[in-house]
Formats: sequence, C-alpha cells, structure tokens
Amino acid sequence: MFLKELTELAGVSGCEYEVRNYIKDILTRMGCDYYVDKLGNIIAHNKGRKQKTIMVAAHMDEVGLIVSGIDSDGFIKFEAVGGIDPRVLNSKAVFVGEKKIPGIIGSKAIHLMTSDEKGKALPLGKMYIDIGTSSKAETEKLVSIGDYVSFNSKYVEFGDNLIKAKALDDRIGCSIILDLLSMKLDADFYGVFTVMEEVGLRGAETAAYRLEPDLGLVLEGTVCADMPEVDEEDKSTLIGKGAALSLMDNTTVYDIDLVRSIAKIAEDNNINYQYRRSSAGGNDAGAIHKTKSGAKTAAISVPCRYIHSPVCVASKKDIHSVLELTKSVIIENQKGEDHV
Amino acid sequence: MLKEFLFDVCSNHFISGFEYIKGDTLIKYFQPYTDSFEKDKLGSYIFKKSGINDKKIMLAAHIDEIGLMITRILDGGFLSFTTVGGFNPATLVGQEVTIHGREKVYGVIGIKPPHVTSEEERKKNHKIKDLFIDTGYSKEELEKLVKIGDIISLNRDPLSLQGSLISAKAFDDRACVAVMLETAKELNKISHKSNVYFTATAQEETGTRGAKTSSYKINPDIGIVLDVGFGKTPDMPSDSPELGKGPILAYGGRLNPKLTRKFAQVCKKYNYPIQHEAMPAKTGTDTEALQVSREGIPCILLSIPLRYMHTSVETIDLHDVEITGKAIARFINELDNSDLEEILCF
Repeated sequence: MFLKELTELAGVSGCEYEVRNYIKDILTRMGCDYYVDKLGNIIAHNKGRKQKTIMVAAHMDEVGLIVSGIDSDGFIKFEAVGGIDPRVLNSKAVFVGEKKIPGIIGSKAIHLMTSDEKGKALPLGKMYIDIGTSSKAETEKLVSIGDYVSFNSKYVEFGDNLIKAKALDDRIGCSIILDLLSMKLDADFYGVFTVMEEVGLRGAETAAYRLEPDLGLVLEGTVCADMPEVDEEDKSTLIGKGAALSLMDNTTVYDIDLVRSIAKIAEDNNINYQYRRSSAGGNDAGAIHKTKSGAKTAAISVPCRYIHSPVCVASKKDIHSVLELTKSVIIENQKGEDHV
Repeated sequence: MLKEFLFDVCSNHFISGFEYIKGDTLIKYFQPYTDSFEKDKLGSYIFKKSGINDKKIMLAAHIDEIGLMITRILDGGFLSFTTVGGFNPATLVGQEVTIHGREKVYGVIGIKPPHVTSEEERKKNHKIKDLFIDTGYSKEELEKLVKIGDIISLNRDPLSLQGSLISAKAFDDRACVAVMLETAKELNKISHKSNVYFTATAQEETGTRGAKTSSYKINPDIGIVLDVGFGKTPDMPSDSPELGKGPILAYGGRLNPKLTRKFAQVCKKYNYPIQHEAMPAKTGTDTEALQVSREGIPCILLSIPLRYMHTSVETIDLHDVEITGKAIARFINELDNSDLEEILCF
C-alpha cells in the first residue's frame, strides 16, 4: 500500500508533478523499467510470460481548483478543475501553488445571511481563498493566476477497515498498480499512470496509442452513494462488497464477454465483486477502447463514497479485492506458451 | 505564547454545556498569572488575580463552542444529528468530526457525488436533517461505542496563514480567552489595585447562561465583555471592521457610556488602535446576561474582528488579540487610579 503517501501529494489535473516524481522514485527503487511520454504519463513494464499486450491504467490526477484572479484586498478567485460540487468547498483548508501556501475557503457568518442566502448553494463565483494577506500586491508575491489548488486533507483509517483521504480517485488505482508491479509476476503487463483523466481522459489516449493494447484494464475509484436516503438506483456500488465491474457509463459500453469473463475469474478465485449499477461518470476506458482499431477494455473499481470531495472514503477490503482480481485477470490472460 | 495557547485550546473541544471535559488545558495556562481558581455550577472557569482594594472587575469571554449532538443511530453506521448552537448546514458538508462516545469515534459528513446529483439539487443547500455522519462501523458495532445525546466536535487543525493571521475552529470565542491571558500577563508587569476575575464563561452559544451565573457569583463592580465581531470579507460592506486594526469598541444601550468612552481615551493615550461599532440593542454576547446580573453591572464590550464566524475556518489576526489584552491591562490600571464611583455615576 502506497496510499497514504500518494493521497497526501498534490496532483490536480495538468499538474501531476508531485505524484509522478513519487511514482518514478518507487519504480526506480523496485528496479522496474519505465518511461515518461510527451504528456507526462508514466508507462512501466512488468516483463513476463506473454500472450497479449495488457495495459493496466490508473490516473495520477485529481480534481481540484485553479487560481483565476486576485482581488484588490488580496483574496483569490478560482475555478474548478474537474467535476466538483461547489458545496463541498465551504469551510475547507487548501494548499495554493507549488509552494503549498496554506489557505482557507470560508463563508459568510450565518448571522449575516438572509433567509434566501441560507437556502441557496453558494456558487463557485462567490467563493474565494483567504491566505491571510491584505492586498493584491502581497498576494501576487506568493500566488499567480494559473496556480493549482489542492485540498488539505490527511489520510485517516477509521471504522471497520475504512480509509478517508482526498484523491482516492484515483490514487487507489495508482497504489494497486504499484503493488502489482512490486509482485514481479511472471505475466507481462504495462502499468500505466495517466495524466488529465478528470479533464477529458487526455493521457490515456496517447498512452494507449503508443502501447496498442489487446486488453485494457482500468483501475478506478468509482461512485458509491450507499448513504441513507439516497435512491436505490443512485447508489451505484456498495462499500465493502468487493471490486466493482463496469457495464456501461458515459464514456464506454464495456465488452460484455470480457466483463463476464472477469466476473468468472472472481468467482473461481473467491474474490468479492459487484456490478457497477449506474451509467453515470466515465474513466480512462473511454479513451483506451477507442485506440487505433479498438481495444477490449474493462474497468475494475474500488467503491468510493463522497468521491470528488476532500473526504473520499473507501474500504481496504475492496482495495484488496481489486488488487487480487486484477492480478488473477493478468495471469489468466497470459497463460500458455510464450510468443513474445 | 498566545498562538501556542490558541492552537492548543482550539485543538480541544468545549461544546456548549460540556465545557467541563477539557478544563485542565485552561488551568495550565492561567494558573501562572492568577492567584485562585473556582468554577460556578454551570461550568464557567473563574481565575482571580487578587488586588489590594475591594473593587472587582470581571472580564468575560466564553469558552464554549458550537457543536453537534447525536439524535439517531442508523443502519450502515450512519448518525443523524442536531446542532448545539447556530450552524450554517452548508459549512458542515465534507467535514471531519469526532464523536465523544464511550471512546472517541472518527466520522465524516459526506454528500452524494456530483455524478448522481441533479442540477436542481446542487442549487440548494442541505438542511441538517439531510446530512449524516459516516462512522464506517455497522450499526451493531456503533451502538456499543456511542449513544443518543453524545456530543460531536468538528476536527480542524489550526493553521498559520500569512503574516499574523491564523485560522481554526472556535476562535469564537477563544480568541478572547487568549485576550484575557494576555491581560493577566500584562497585569503582572504593571500594577493593579482591583481584584480582576478572568472568566471563561460556559454556554454563551446556547443563551449566555454561564455569564449569568458566574457574574452572580463574582458580583463585580464592572464588567468587560470580550467576544468576536464580523471582520471584513469581500461579501461584506466596505466599511466593515477589518482584521489587524484593533478591537471593535461597541456603543449602545447594553453598554455603560462613560466607561466605554474611558476605554477609548485610554487607547488613545497609549496609542492602541481601536475600531468602533454602534450596537443599539442586542449584542449577541455575554453582555446580555452581565448587564442585568443582580442589581446591574456597568459593562463595556470589545470584539476581536474575525472572518467566517461559526465555521471551522474562523480567521483572526493575532496582533489584535495581543493589543486588546494590553489595552485592557492599561484600562484596569487607569481605572484603579481614577474615581470609579464618579465614572459610574449618572
């Protein structure tokens, strides 16, 4: 598990440096071959028995904010990077820019709010980051337009095998790929750490073009809305109930034979799995399966409550299920005579 | 020292009505500068610095903070809750909390992700009843750890921002408990004749109740009430009080006019900056109780400017805390050398 370190690094889409450097360092120490492509994806290779080219992908980037302006009193205006419900930003601590200047997003005191204001969600345009400066010039010494802003949220283990962190979508996938690479399996696969998934699956597209995989496996943190008073059809996945297999989402109609074969591998190996019962959202599979003349691609995900917020929650049991299932799928697909 | 005190005391919880739980923290910091300590029956902490005459000056700053309380334990290890004091529910979304049950239980208040939230839903704020605390336990396990009525505090590590600005939960009103600490320290350096009572009052947020009982117990000649005021942010009028420009001195019916003017004069004499605010009637502070305690107590009210009141990221300027503490010490010293009866006489 590399999850604590991975989730506490900043890697808002388009600014994945910290995460990339950390992963490169781990790969070097593991003695794993890798290279970084022109967009910043890391492509690592686990050499072994090979029937086909397998690409296992997870994205390094996370949702966050970007500085869009500084007002005359030094307060910072921002826009969202990726899909964020502005309501999760109220009263939060953040880090601004590469120097990680601490800041907070406050909101008007309840005492001063009109009843109309109390009912309406605060739009992004009315929020600002306070870093404690008192003039535009003072802020400009520390912050520039275009600086990325990440949530300040620590990794916490709690309850029955649960963890809370920011960016579980998709450092969970990155952590699982690092675990797979560290196993030195005698089964060939490429572990790909992609960039800019949250802003349009940009990295996966170029990485898949280069690798031209026969099989794509996308490891994700995915929607899990199994909280009280959420409609059954919106729950999507259940926490603690195993690896979630995608059937259809906004970016992919998954190859049903491939999905069923993965479900069978899970059953044969006593690994908990569930189907992802929602067509909302999307992931790198959307780019990978359309590569060149097409590549069969599956998404195997860890259910994440409160995804795209500073307090994502996932189960260590589900992370283990995704790791075991992905390992089994790789081994199963590379069985037989070598023909490298 | 003030920052260390504030970071320490704001990492602890003193939910309104449950202030007794973490009292050691206060005693540790106040004891070196005061002579005796007692509590009233509602849980206010009273530290006395003895003088040489029979005058009594009471400083009041509330130690309690707003918090939450369990109302229901639900399937899947979720909790429903109510608020203890005034929360904007919008500020609770995405927060981490500690439930003070049989043991401390960690929880988060999350909401549905944007992927399955309609545009219509996103425009509305949540109500308290729409929010749940996720503890990560099954209902059965959770019932062994917590009960209905257990209190819940917000988790927030205090933060240093640029310059002398700091951010944390519960600076309302621990910023002013820190002011009292600074006054106590300062009075060690300059002389004072009156008996000074530094009172960390209980239950202000739920109705200024600790101030009522502690002032009855102390029976002071005058009261100096300390609370936080609304510091200027982009969504407020441009002439709002600002952080870093000194305490806000209040004028209005709850406050003694001559005593208030005397404080302004002392600040002018010693070059302490102050800001001014008209408060014709309700102040929303311990003054409400103090002014009408026993046969009446002449009061002044000072507020430390604070941004984002009643959120977990309340922000203040430490400089304001320090100069307010020092100015009050000077004020006490000047009162000791004046004819208090004459000042208080109408």
